Amino acid sequence: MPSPYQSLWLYLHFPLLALEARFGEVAQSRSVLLTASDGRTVKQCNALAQAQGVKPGMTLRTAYCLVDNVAQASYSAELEAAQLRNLAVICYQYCADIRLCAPLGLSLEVGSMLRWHGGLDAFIDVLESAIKHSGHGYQLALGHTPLAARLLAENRAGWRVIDAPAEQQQLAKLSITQLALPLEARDIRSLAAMGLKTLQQLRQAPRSELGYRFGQALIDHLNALQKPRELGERFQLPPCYDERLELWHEVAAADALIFPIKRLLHGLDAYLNARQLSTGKLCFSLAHREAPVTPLTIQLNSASRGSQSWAVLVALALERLTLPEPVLIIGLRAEALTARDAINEDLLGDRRPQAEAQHLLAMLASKLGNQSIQQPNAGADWRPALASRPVAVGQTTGASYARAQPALLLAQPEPIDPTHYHALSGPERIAVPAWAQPGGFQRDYYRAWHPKSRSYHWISRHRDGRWYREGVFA
Amino acid sequence: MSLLTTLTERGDLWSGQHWPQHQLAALPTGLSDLDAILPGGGWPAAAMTELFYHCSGQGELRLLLPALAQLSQSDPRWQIWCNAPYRPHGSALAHWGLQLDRILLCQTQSEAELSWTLEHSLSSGGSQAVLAWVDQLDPRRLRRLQLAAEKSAAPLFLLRPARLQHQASMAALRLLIEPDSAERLHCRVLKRRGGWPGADVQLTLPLIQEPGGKVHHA
Repeated sequence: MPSPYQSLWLYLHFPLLALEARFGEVAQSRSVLLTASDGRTVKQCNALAQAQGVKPGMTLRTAYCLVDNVAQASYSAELEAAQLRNLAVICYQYCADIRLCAPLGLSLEVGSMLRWHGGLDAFIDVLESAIKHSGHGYQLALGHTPLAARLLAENRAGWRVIDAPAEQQQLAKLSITQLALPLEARDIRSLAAMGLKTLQQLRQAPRSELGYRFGQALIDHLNALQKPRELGERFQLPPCYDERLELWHEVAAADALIFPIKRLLHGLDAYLNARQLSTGKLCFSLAHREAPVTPLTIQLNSASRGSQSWAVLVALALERLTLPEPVLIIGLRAEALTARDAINEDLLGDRRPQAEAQHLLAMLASKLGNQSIQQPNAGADWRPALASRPVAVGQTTGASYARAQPALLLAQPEPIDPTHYHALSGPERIAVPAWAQPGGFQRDYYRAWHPKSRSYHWISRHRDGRWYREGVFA
Repeated sequence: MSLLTTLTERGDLWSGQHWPQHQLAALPTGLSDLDAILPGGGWPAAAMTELFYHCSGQGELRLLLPALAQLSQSDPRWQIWCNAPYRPHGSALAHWGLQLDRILLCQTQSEAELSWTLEHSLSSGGSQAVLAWVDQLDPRRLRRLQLAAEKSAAPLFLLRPARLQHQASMAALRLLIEPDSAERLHCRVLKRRGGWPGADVQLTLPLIQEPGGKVHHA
């Protein structure tokens, strides 16, 4: 006997997708609405606006009579489609076969995923918590064909019964306007005029007659409720992560950007999880109205993984940032994608200090900027100024050339009067032939005591006979 | 009784006679004369130490280098050097036995940034020791730094100009150094937790690490 789970689909319907994509968290705290492309009617509105009487399809003028404080934006199909793909990325962590049913739905084939998740309930639990975290309202239903799942999600949200006859009964009660029939409004009216008002009645009508009058598409649609037929186009992960977020009002304070950025980071986290990748660099681009784009780059290392630890680093970097103008659009691109290391357990307990050290480095680099963090270096060059040039973190030359010289060097030698110093040892000549440095390099170094300040210095006589202070025996 | 034990262990309470025997976590300085006057026999290992000097080049860093070298050899975490007045010379530090790839040189722009850097370097648990050249710093910030050092069990060394020696401070150890002559250094204890202030010692401080010096490789 075949398992009841063998062919099972789950459908997610996001009724306010465009609205939530445009307004984010704001949609939960105040009335918001989207206008249709003609700019005169309401296309979508949230529950707060609906509670005050606003309905989709209503004219904008009427809506403004009903609510006083409402945020408004125009509907963007592009944004809606992009957001649907973002949601598909989130689902991709739990399900392999996802179909985009534009504009508002995702169809997931779950029958083959249940063994992996250990049961249907466990699967739905993880999926729901991931989608709730994204902040979108959704309607979910199960069905034995993709189309049945879709119709139930749209009209009987929360249908989770895996019983084919009960499912067919539920479907039979749906009215013909709820069936998403591939017919024009005129044809649907003529069906109703013929007395065919529910799916039940439609099923009882002779198929050949229906096909003759309304076309093959209607017959195929009705069949798809009983025999599985794929919906929409199959979702594939994009090859790289590059997303933009349009802010619905201008943000002038850099600190305040962290809230929309968290949404982007959450999306990136889902994307990287789905592709089993990790990233070494977050590149933000903050677009303004007039001024050129402000770039912001965050270096990551092995200790910073997951959107929460990124958010901490971004917040630190934002503190340093001064914006030339308010920000309108935030773009996020992830660079240096690498395959994720296998998760190794810390058996000996010696990895924690390393992780803390890596975390500290990432925090310092974000707070102070990469150029303010360096490492001392002991290069092979004989000239102290060249050998001691500090390097970026992790770039120290493998072999250290140790020399008995002072611990601190002046960036630029400082001219001095040698009579103020008592030479205690020296000279130690350092010379480089003329072919290595134009003009040659020859200096005689002395360790010298400066009686007035009672301190120790490293002074040198250059080839031209002038004296300089080169370093400090601190 | 338990309160007495706690206070004694923390070094807040000591008996006039027996203070050198107290077991405070400490890092050997590499100079036996100096160890003898420091509680626990070395630099406080989980506290703030302030070192006051009049002018750069008086041995303020050389006094610390043997202990820092030993730490850098034995601990895989970062050693933070913050706001060095001149460029640290890698070849010389390698000669003193420091592990260069474990040292991070940081430059901060403001007092707030400096105290953030020091505090987070300590409290994140990612550093073995923190060294900073610090001029003026708000006493409340100094206090936070001492608490962070205690919590993280890492030493914090502040190198400060001698004119600030009279400022109140929570540091566990405050030393003032004054060079006498070439390699002779006079070192006075302004404050030590777990002992009386006022002790002083004459030290011979080499300019460079002698071959086979006192740095013990772990």
